Amino acid sequence: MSNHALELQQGERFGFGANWARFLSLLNDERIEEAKASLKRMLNVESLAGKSFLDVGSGSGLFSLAARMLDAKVYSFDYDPQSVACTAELKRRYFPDDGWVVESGSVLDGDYLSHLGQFDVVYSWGVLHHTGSMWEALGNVAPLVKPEGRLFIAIYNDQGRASMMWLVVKKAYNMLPSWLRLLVLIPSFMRLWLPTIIRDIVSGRPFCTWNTYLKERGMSPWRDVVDWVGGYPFEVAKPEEIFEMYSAKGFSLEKLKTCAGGLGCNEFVFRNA
Amino acid sequence: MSSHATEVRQGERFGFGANWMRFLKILNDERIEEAKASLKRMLNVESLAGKTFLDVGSGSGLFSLAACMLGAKVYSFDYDPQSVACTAELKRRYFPDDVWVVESGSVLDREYLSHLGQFDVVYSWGVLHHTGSMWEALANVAPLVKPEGQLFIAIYNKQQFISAFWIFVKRLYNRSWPVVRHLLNYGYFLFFAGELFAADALRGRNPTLRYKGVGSRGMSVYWDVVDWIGGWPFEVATPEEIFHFFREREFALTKLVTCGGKHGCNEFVFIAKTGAK
Repeated sequence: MSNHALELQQGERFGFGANWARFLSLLNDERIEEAKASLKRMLNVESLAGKSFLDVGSGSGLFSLAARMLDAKVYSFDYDPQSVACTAELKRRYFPDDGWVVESGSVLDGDYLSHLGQFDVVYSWGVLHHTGSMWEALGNVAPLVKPEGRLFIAIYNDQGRASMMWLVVKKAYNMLPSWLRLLVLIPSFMRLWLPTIIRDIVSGRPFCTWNTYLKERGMSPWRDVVDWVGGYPFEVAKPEEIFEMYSAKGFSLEKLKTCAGGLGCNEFVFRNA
Repeated sequence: MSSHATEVRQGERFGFGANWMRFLKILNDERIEEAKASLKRMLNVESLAGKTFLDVGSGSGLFSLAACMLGAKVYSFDYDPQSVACTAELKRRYFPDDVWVVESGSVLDREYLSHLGQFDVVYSWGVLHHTGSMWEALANVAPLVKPEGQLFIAIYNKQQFISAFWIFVKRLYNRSWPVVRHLLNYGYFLFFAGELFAADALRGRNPTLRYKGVGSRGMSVYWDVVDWIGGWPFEVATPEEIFHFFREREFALTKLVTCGGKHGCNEFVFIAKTGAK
C-alpha cells in the first residue's frame, strides 16, 4: 500500500483527488478562460511563452492547463494519485503530444525536488498547508525558483481561534467512520451557509448567493463544504508570516491578495530578487 | 474660529486631542519603554541616533518622545490643537531644550509639507484614515521620505460588512449630544472590556494586565475605546491596497503586521527605493 493510501485509511489525510475527478465533468471553456485570466493578472503577463512553469500540487490540473495554453513549458506533480490522474486526463484531452510532464511526487521529498531543476514560475495554490508540514514545504519550493523567477502561492489565512476550531472539526471528520461524518458536516454547513441563507431571505432574494455560487464554482456548495471540512492535514499562516519567511530568503513581494481576515487563502506573488 | 474647531463643532470631526490630554495623566515609564521597544522592533534598529524623524499626527506625542529618546532629531505636527499642546507638554517635561519641533500642521496642506524637507523616518500611526482624504494623505507623505528612508504607517483594516457598521456608529457619535456620547463611551467600553476579559480568561492570561499599560503600544484601554468609537473622519483599507499603492511609488515593504481581519490597524514599514515618488 502506498504512503498516500495508508494515510487516507488511517484518517490522517483527506482524498482531495476524488473531488477533483468530479470537477472534470464540470470543466468548460469559461472556467479555463478564468484560470488563464487569473494567471495573467497575478503574474502581470500577457503570455508565458518561453517560460518554464512548475505546478506544485496540480490538483484538478486546471491551472497547469491554463499555463500550457499561455504557452509555458509545464511540469506538474501531485501527491494524490487521483489528482495526478485528473491532471493527466486534462493533458490527454488538450495537449496529448506535448512536453508537459505530469507525475506523482511529494513537495516534502527533498531528493525528488533536487532533480527538477529551476523554473521561471513556481505555482502552488492552496496546497502547501495540506502537506502536514507547511513551513518545510514553503522552504522546499524556494530553491525551485530561478533567479528573477516568480513564486505564486496561496496559503490559508490564520483566523486565530476560528482556525483552531476548524482544525478540531477537520480532525474529527477524518477520524470518524464515513456513516458518522454527517454529524460533523451538518453543523459545519450551518455555520458556513446559514447566515448567508438568512441574509438572502431577509433581503428578498432567497438563495441568490447559493445559485450564483453554484454557477460560478461549478461545485455545489455542499460539495465545497465537504471539501473544506475534510481538507486535512491543515495549517494556516498570517500574511506577515509568509512575507517575512520569503523576505529572509531574499524574495521581494510583488502582489498580495488577502481575504480580509476571513475564511480562505491569502495569495502572494514573490520575485526571487 | 479655526477650521479644526469649526469641524469639531459641526460634528464633522472628533476631538482626538482631548483624549490625549487625559492620557498624559497616566503616562509612565513603562508605557514609554513600550513605545521605544515598538519603534525599535518595527524599524529594526537599536537606536535612531543621527536620524531625522517626522511624526505625522503626533497625537499624545508618545511616539515622538520615544523617537527622541532613541536619539532621533524629531519633528512633530498635528492638526488638532489639543494634540499639539499635548505633544508640546511632553517635550517640555522631557526635552525642554531640544531641537525637537512641535507644531500645528495638516497633512493635506501640500504647501505646508513642501517646507518640511525629507526625513530618514516618516511615522504616522493610525492617523491618515482620520484626515477625511486618506489616499491623498498617503500620497502626500511619500515624498517626505528620504531615498533609503523608512515609512512606518498604520491604517485601519477594511472588514467586510462590519466597517459599514462602524461608520454608522461613528457618525452618530460625532453628531450626538455630549450626554449620549458618554453613554456610548461606557457602553462600548463595557462591550470591549467584556470581550477582552473573555479572551484573556480563555488564554489563561491575567485580564488586569491590559489596564496596567502592558499592552503592545502603551496606550490605555479605556481611551483607546473612546478614541475608536469617536474617531471620525474614518476610512479603511485592506493590506493589499496599501501595499500596491506604495509599490507603485517605488517603496519596498519590509515589515507587515495585520490584525487578522479583526477591527484595528494593519501596520506597514516601507523603504523608499532611490527614485521613489
